Amino acid sequence: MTEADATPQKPAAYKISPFNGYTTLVLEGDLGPETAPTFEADFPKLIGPPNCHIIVNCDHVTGISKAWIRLLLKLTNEIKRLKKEIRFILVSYSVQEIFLNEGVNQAFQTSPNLHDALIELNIVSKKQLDTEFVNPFLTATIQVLKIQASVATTPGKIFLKQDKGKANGDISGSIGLVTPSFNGYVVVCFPESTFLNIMSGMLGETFTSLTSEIIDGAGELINMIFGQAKATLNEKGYGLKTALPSVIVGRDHTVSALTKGPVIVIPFESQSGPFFVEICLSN
Amino acid sequence: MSKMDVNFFKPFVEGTLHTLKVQCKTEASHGKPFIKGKGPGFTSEIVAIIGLACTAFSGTIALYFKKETFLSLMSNMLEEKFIEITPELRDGAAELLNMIFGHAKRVLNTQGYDIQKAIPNIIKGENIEASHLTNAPVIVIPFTSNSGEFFIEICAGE
Repeated sequence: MTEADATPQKPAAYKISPFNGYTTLVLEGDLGPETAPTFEADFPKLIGPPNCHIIVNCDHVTGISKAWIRLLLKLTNEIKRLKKEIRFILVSYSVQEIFLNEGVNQAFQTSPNLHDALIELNIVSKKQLDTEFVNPFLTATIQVLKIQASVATTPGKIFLKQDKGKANGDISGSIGLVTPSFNGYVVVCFPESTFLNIMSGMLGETFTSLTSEIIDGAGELINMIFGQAKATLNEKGYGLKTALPSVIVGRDHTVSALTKGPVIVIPFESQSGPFFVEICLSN
Repeated sequence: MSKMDVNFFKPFVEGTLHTLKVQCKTEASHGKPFIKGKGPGFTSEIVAIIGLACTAFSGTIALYFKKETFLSLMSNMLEEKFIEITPELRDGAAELLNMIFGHAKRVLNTQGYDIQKAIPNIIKGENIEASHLTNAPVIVIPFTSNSGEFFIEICAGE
């Protein structure tokens, strides 16, 4: 039985993806000696042109064989010869132990997550990173409302909330953001009429007031938006943790944050009415 | 680590009492915790909410104040008399929650919880009610003080 015709029962041990200015190497599961030769054969994808920095995502690594350690060390040395850098991100305590035991903890430089690695390696500015972080939430909002509530939404011009307290609503869904290097929150704020229209579309019933039956809907929407954005961001290596949504109800309430970091507001228009998504990040 | 038990919310109670005493020169005392929905309901004019994540679960801590109580606490904290909740005072609510949380986090992390927190958001309005999307019980801890009564809510989810 050759490797080629074995039906893959477990996920591939690694995945190489090129991005603008860097290449990610996502490692998965138990990296045994049987997959090492295939990985070595793929080195040209990592150290050939266009010669980028490498970011090794260790989030889902459960074990690393000596053969793999040897290859990762070889990769590290080759990339350094090309005057480029390599960073290991989302390294768990147990993986750190493996590095220590194999004597490579000094050779393998780590960063908490993709965000910090990109800043450290000067690949993107913090401002570009913030935009990169926000975009999956924007896309997720559009998708979730389209699929769950059959509501088409259009994002307006994104603005920074200089004057704290501008985003307001009658019902909001809020969820905390926690990554290894920065944190924040994301909130979706609805005026009552927009929310009632969305819920009516979602549940196929006409609602005329905020009853307990539909209030949870705001939490569920933010949960779905968050879930989708998280999947996209974590594939890249942000290390966003699961969080619990909250729903706030109160006529014309304002949401604000204590932070020196950016507060990004995305106003939306839709056939159900206007609403806001606000993302607040620590600096 | 075990989920929601008295070991988890005790440091939040201690953090609250300590923070109010030191920052707002206010003595407070806590009442008997109850499960949300099985005790008196309440509405607020200012709420601070913060998400947290730890190895075993994610959760939320919320701090609720009525306007008069909050103004009184802030007046004590900043040694100035306030009659309206200004943006600066709103920040005060976040700072209080940050300090309470900071105290609890230090204690809980020595017990191995490995807690990380998000950024608090502050909600200001009339008759605010908040709920959390979890099937687990939401614990409410009522507090009384010379400035009035207020509540802390703690909940966890998968």
